[in-house]
Amino acid sequence: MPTPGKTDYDVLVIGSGASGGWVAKEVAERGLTVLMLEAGPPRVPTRDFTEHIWPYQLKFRGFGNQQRLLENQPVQRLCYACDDYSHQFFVNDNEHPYTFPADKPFMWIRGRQIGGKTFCWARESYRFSDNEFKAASRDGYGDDWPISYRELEPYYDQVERFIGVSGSREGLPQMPDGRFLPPMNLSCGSLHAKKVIERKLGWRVIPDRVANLTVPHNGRPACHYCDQCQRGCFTASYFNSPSVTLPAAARTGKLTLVSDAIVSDLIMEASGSAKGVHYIDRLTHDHREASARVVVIAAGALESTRILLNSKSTSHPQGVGNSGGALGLYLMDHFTIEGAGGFMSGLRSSKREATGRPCGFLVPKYVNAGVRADRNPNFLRGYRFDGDGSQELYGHAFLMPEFGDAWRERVRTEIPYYFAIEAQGECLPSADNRVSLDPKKKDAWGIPALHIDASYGENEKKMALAMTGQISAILDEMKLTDITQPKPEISIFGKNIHECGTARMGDNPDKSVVDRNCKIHDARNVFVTDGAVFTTQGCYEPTLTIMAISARAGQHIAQSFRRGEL
Amino acid sequence: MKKLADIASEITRRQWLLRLGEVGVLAGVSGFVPDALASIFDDTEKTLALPPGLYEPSADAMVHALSHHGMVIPPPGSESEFAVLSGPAFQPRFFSREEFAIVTQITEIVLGKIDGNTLLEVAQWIDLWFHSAEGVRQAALHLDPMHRTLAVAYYGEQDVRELETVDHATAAREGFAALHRTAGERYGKKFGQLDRQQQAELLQAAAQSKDEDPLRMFLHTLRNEAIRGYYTSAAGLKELDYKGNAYNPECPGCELGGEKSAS
Repeated sequence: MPTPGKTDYDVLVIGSGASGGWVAKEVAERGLTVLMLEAGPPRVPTRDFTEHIWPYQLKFRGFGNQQRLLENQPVQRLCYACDDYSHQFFVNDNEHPYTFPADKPFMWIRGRQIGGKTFCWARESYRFSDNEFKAASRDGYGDDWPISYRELEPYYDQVERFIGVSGSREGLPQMPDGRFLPPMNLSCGSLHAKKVIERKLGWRVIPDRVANLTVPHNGRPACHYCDQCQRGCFTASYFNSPSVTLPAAARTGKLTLVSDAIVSDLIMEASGSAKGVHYIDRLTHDHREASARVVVIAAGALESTRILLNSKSTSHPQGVGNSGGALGLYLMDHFTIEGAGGFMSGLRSSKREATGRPCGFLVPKYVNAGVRADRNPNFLRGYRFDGDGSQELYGHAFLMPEFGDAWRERVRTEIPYYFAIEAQGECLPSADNRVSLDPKKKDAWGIPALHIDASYGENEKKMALAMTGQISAILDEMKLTDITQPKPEISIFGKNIHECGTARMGDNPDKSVVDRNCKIHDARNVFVTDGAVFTTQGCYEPTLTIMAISARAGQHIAQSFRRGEL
Repeated sequence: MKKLADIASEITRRQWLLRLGEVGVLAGVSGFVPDALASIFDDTEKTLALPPGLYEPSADAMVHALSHHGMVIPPPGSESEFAVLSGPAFQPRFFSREEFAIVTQITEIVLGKIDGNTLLEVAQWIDLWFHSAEGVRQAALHLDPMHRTLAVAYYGEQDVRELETVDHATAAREGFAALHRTAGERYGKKFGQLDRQQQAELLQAAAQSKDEDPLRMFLHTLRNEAIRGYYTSAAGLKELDYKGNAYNPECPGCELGGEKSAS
């Protein structure tokens, strides 16, 4: 077994999340030795998972230690999952600073541990189609991906088969079906929404496609529907890299996994090849080096970009991957229109229904998706809706003004049913949305912090108007009561944690950072495999596509290595 | 329908025995694993070892967690803040003993008849909430400008300003003063000396008063925290018939049967 510090690794992978896990698995299974450096600590399920913890077992009863969150996680606390149960999966913001212009707030939500953000991800898993990969050819804006759906399709197949994705086959050309496990059920509210939205508005309503197992799969039991996915999962019934891809990599005997190893920059030789990386021990702050024949950066889009920007040398004076000047540009994150909902009075009940379904419903993108009738000339690209209906637990107790036994009986027996819906839209890639190294600010380990300068443009604002109007139409057709209209503001950049695009893929080295195989144009043996390489982002969650790209890159690296090209 | 035992049978006996060690950690019970099994664990760990941070499915860790309803003894190194069983020796940290007794009485009027232990648990939550409030406010006031900008963008200026300015400690002192003053004016006694009927009447009347009335505001806060405390207690969740945080063998669907008349 190789040990860190030696030079006998074939591949060095930075980051152990969705992307790094797939690269490590693919290359290790093909016989290459892998050193994986993860910036955060290992998580121990019986110590760090809070699955099945009850609110009364916590000091702050699930409401969170607000003082501690404000002091240590003033950014992370804004993420819905960074709560009393799961804050340990998110970074300490004091140690991990970044900056943004005062008029362009950006939320950078980060998880540093073995597994990265895969403990807390929302697990929605949709394939892109050529509606995303070739959007530029269709509407003339920006650039196509150099790869097509047909090229990525076998890797989507492979990823879905291995991790397990539940979903329904719908035959939609703009959102390809996958290799699905049986779909989840819809709630009463979602079934009603399906009926109304499909009949009255003509848009398809489907169960979310989620990386939760509905049947036992590859040695992992099916989901037990406890509704606690962000807290870890003892039964490994949803995809996270520490229980799915990384064990597969480890079982080959080829993987050396080093935690608490914060990579600061790549070590570049005069020839332009990477020799390895500098990293800093998270706990002791000792500076170390590791070397390998190939370096794969899979630290998450922004962190990967920071490492590349910080890798300045005589061969790469502006950072690795930046010869064409595209590194750090074209940052994208989905924007959402949120807060809409209302009560479904017909589903008010005295009977409590089972909860725990880890998904809701999705209205796949229809606008500008190829059907002439659904074309909207006011903006480019499109959006999707997702929502769910469910019973209130006790929120209605606050609204009933009386108190005492009779009031509590009403709380128990008059259970309102709430329906909520939001829209998520595509952000156009723009060179104005960019990240760079902050000239002054450094993190707790002395590594330059990232300066993030991004805002939504006119296209997003016009799209948001259409999204808001159509949400209102849905609320109207649903005949809800006490309707809350969507918030007029677009969500904060970064809030949806789908950041991507800052080391984009393309055939032209002047306009992109990596080639179609995720190899950096200006370095012989350096690859980026996470969301940084997205040329466009569509309106769907990026993780499944990140995994498919990573599996493809891993196989390409193994083949190239065997051919002696790396 | 899949039973827990079926899931458990899908992992090997050796894995099961290995995982028993984890259960001991989870429960915080040292010595839970009999010495006689130690050699099996050693052997098993060698054959099944994954690097730290990776894990395999563990049905029994889940079974244990599902069946564990008492206080959790924090596993060493845990970053979670678990509740501590305080029992009769409880000392309020924000309220005086007299004030705590009054808060307990008000909680009982708000919630109606609930068991004594739960009532005490809820009153203790209210004490912790008030005790924590000033630290929260100070932390909000000391947010750096960038983090405040983000908070405003996320929550809106009004919510952020409220967090920075509302002084719950002072509001509580003013609330108690108003409570006693009102009790004196109406009944010639302190609140704690009134009978339950009189206390309830006083609270009902205060709830109808003007928005900025300090007694109304204080009682509003007490009521909100009583609701949050009670419906996060074991008794409150049971009363709601909450069915989450459980083992469901099948994906919950539509069980209300009212889909056709949904609206």
